[in-house]
Amino acid sequence: MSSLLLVDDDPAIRDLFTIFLTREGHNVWSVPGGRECMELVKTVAPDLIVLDIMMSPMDGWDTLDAIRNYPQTRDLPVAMFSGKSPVVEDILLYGGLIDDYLIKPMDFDLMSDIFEGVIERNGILGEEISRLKQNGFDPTGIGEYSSLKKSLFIFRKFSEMFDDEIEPYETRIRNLEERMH
Amino acid sequence: MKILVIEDNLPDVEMIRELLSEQEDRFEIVHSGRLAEAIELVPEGRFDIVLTDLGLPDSQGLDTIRTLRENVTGIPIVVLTGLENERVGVSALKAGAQDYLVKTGMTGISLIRSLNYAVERYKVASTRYVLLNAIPDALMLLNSDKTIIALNKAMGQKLGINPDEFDGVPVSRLVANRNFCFPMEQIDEIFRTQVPVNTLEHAGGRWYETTMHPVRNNTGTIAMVVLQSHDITDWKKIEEEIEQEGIFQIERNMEQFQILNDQIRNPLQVIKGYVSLAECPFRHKIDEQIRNIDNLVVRLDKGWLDSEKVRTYLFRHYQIGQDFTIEKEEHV
Repeated sequence: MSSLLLVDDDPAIRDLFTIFLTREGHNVWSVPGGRECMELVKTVAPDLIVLDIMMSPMDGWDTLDAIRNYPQTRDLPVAMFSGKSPVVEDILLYGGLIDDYLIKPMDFDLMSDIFEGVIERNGILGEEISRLKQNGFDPTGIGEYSSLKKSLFIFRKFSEMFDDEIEPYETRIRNLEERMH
Repeated sequence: MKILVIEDNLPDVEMIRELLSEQEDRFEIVHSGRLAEAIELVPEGRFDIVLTDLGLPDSQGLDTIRTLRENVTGIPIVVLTGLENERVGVSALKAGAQDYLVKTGMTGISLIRSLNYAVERYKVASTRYVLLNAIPDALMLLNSDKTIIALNKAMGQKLGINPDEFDGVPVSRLVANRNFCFPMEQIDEIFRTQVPVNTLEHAGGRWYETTMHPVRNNTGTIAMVVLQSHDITDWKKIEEEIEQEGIFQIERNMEQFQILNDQIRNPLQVIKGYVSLAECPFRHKIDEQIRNIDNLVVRLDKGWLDSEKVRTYLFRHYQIGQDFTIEKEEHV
């Protein structure tokens, strides 16, 4: 059971999201845009934020920037949830800041498990990062490692689209890991 | 016909007057004994022709013709030589005179014939000169020694030289004097292979399409090569604008595709949700239809992925759409 925050400008999707995920026992908030999201996170602390992309005036990527720049939400897992397929430019820019990219339409019945998975994955990466910090690994290197891992997850997930991008990321992660040991 | 006679030897001037007075045509003669003075007379004089001695108190030999050619434009020159020396006469022609006459043995008829001939010949030559310079393309004619036989103003402008200074000059000197590329090897090749060559040049911020083609003489061998450079800068600009417009169109289409896909998938998500919520007995049928529509969207997606490839192609080959690629490279 987790607390989920959905940001989507479509009221029907917000309704359905709330119905299905509340039914699975989650605590759900939903807002129609980025501004409302940033307003809400001042008072509530979700375990995961789910972001639609095509929204106006603040789109999903703008909202993501705001989330990553706000201390209370900086380290929260974020899953993009859009009808727009991922584009290489976007993933090169934001891949290191997101924990998943989900394409509409998907089964509401499966969402709970998927979101739990995202939260868990983020937790494991968080633990790994704490260990690295304890071992005195440099913060720049840690930031890069986390960003590369997240980007690589997205590139692998859509490997048929981003085949060219995978190898350089794997190499960079390997190089970082060698430095860590 | 109004004649400017430049001659310091008065008996010779008298002889010319006499020879011409015997003729039916009317001749008006203005006389000067010094070159500098004669040149001053020209602008007001409306002369049809200049008849000049080479040995003057203020100028000697071929310099007399060169000075005249520099200062007197649009009037033919006939040279009088005291010497029965053909070589001086021929040199005078090369230096810019239209004809030469040996004073000794000169008759009224030979003098008039020479004057008329010089006027006509000059008219033809200057018309050709006008024609050559009226052409906006840069033109140059080279012989097999790669000596410049002729070049027009446009070529002078392109190479940044005064075309009159390089008429009759080996092209190697032109190349040595200025620091620019000249397609020497390609010209050699034309003499060897007899095949015309086309090149695209970028010089002084402008684009030229240059054609070099062989010119054959009567026996069919290649005697000369003509270089013709056509300034295509404006065309290039238009072409680039079209390409730029093309890439903007692609960008717009991609954006439209993405918006469209998002707009289709959102209602699919909603339908899927309500069907599942209502525990509809036809849920699987409806889900199947949703999948069909989604597959169409995937195909549309592939359409703009191809557009992305077009964009990348256009950038690599034509350097257009840089903004996108630079941004992309920054984040790799």
